[in-house]
Amino acid sequence: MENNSGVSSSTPSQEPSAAEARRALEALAADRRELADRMATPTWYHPALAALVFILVAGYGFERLFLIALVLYSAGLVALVTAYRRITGVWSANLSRIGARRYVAAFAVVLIVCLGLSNAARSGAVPWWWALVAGVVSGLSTLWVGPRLDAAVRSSLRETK
Amino acid sequence: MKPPAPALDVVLLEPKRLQICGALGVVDEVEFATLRDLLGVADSVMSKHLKTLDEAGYVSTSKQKADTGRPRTWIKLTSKGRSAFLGHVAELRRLAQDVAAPTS
Repeated sequence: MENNSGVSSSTPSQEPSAAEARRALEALAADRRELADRMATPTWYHPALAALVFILVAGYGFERLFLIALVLYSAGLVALVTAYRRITGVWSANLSRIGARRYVAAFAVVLIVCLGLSNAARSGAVPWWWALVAGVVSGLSTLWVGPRLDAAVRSSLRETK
Repeated sequence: MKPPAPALDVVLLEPKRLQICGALGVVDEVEFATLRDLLGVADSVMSKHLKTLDEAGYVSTSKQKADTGRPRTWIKLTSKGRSAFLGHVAELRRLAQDVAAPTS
């Protein structure tokens, strides 16, 4: 039964003892570990994401194809995120808050360089196939970073005090 | 940002509600069924605790339509809830140290 303050009448009213406080903290740590296990990414997730990143970066190098690439990437990303949320029941987009900043930073640098290369191909400063190279490098980087990012996030969750 | 001062929160004195905030505190959003399974409680118990947390302004919920057509409820911690949770945990740590410290 709820009282008017919105706090359940079953709420303990006394300050927890030291042992109770320790048990509560241990329960929180156990929950974080279980949550980390639930965040196991499906095996197809990173290859699918890598393919989408390839489409975006390589497509950026071709003026006539870029709009199609952008639509494919956006629709694919929405589908991926929706599937991930449905399967794991957990979502966390703020990776910097729960660790793994270095992977996000490294991937951002690779992506910026590859988009620059693709842009150079688009403007004719380098041959057109450099856009494909940039797309492949971005896709492979996604494949490399993805699992490591996941592991860092899960490890961070388990170790959160 | 300055961490909240250690203080027990009456809403979070109930262990399951503390666990809900603990799970929500480390990620952005958790789905109702995932949270229910994590805590090992029935739907009705889970709903009751969420209602209390919602009324206290500690969590917010949103419904999203699933493939089955049945909406799924996603829950997230509010900034007020995060602050109360962090202050509560800080106080629990202080209390827990009492038992860990050697007695003379």
